Amino acid sequence: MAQYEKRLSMLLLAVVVTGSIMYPSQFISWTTFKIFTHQIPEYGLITLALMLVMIASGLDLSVVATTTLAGILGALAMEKMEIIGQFSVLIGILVMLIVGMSAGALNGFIVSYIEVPPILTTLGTMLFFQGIALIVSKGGSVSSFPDAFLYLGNGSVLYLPIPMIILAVLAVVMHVILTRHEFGRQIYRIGRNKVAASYSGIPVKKRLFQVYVLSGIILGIAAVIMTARYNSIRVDYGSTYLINGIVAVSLGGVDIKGGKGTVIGVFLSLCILSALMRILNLADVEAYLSDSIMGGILLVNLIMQHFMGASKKNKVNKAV
Amino acid sequence: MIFNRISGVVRMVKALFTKREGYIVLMTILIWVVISTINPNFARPLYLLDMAGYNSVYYICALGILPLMIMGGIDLSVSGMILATSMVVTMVLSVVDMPLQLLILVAMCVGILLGLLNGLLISWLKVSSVIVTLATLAIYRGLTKFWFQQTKTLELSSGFIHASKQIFLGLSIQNWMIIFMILITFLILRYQKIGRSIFAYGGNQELAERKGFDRFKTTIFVYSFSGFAAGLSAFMHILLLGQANIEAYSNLDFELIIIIIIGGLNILGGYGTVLGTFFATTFMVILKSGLVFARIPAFWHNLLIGAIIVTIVSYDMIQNKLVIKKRINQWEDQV
Repeated sequence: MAQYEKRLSMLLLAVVVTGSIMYPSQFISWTTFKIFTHQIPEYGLITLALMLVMIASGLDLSVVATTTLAGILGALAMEKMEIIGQFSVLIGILVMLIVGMSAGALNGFIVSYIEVPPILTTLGTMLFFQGIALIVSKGGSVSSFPDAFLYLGNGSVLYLPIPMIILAVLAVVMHVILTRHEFGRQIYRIGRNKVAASYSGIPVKKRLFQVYVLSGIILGIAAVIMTARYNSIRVDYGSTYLINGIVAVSLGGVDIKGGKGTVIGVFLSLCILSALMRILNLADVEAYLSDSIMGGILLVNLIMQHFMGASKKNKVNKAV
Repeated sequence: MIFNRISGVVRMVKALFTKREGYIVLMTILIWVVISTINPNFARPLYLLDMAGYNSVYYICALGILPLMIMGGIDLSVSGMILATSMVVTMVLSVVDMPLQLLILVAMCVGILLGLLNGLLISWLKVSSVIVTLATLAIYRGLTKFWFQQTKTLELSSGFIHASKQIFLGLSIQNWMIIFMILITFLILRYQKIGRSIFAYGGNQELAERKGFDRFKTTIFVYSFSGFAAGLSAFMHILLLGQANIEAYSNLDFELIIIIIIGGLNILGGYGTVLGTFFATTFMVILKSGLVFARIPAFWHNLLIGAIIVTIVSYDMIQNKLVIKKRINQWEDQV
């Protein structure tokens, strides 16, 4: 484990200890575990998608819009196909994955081939996807799905909820891809320096496009879990996940300039934030205030990282 | 003599069309003509002035973030700053009664302070302005909403509202403020050293640093200016509604960026004009009311706005690439 991840696990330990001292009976309980396993999956998937893009020096503001759009279109497809019975579940899931993928492909095409800055691209596509979702759903919610679909969101195997299992599997796969696979290494190199990467023979545009498509597929999976868990989907679901996702990614050690970040770091930061949210919840803090606290954590983390970086630089200077 | 004058006008029109912001000026006039033929009331200058007044927040904020975006930054916290400032101002007003002139100063100061915080954080931490302003947006917005949860809206006294409806030389306070903002932005960008520095940093950071422009000072100034505009528009918001509403302007930040982009800003930095921004804002304002006039359901607005931004930005980039290719070709021919 790298230095930063060690620091993160210390922080996680500190948060858990604080929580269990403040609320001994409530914090370490079955309920907390249940809330954890329910809260983390979709949040985690969206964060993973964000991380993947940010490692390749991109940014995706349209993650939540993509997720809700995929959820709504898939849900509508399922509703239309209700006559054919349980088979409609498969179609719904397929539609969600395809919508997520094509949304990612659109972002990827504009960012990599037309070379529009990712912030502006995803800002535009965010509004665009929200617009489509609004028109299709007419602002209302789509709800009540077949049982087989709901099982994906609420069922459990050996006390482990299925969403959590899906997240864990995906996280492991992504970790392997990023660390062991040539594709992952190329993404890190692109994130560190695009020009150098292209000179060393990496097909930069193609890889960037693939990164966005991959993150789109992950968002499609997030849409499946989100829709199945609530048994309904609406445009404004998960609207806090954008800022929360960026906070989690940034706390997890991913640099917005690209080239840095690991799945382990992001996973640890997810756990820290969820534990913190649980404590705030137990302390009866207002929802508005916890938004501010999220922003505050992001800022404090940026400041900390800055000073850590500065001290490291000084050491190097002294050594030289 | 007359011929000279005509050729001068022709030259001016030609210059307008060859510039980046030319097309938005054309589009604005076009959409105005179209709507005016459908609804003759729209053509009355008084109506246009009224409309500008009601949307003064858009004008002021768009001009406020123009320098910042020329420099290559982005400010997503404008709506948060407006919210926080308008709440602080109404709170101050409920404690001590003060005249309009003093209150506008208070609003400006609060706005500048909030913007200053953004600027300091961005220049100290050297991180992307998107991340920092997203964080400060969450903080400003969350804190304000938390503070004023019990009182959803803060009403003002009727005397205050009456004072705000005064008309001076045929224009309302809102219109005068827009003119003031246009002038100040134009003068700073064109004739001040800091304006030159903004363009220099937008064009090429390394060159600007070597030329001796102060990066810290420029960054701080640019974000404070955005805060100043937010403070001013918070004041306008209060004057217009007679109250401060915590649910107002939730989508403002994104719309502002879109306005600046369709106003001819080079997204790679270094180019942007007050004229383009002014017409782009007018275009958006007309388009928004036009969409309602044309009975297009509100559901479609997001889709249209998103499609417009993606198309324009992509077009811009393709155009940039073509220009570069052309230059390389010319250079090769010469060699």
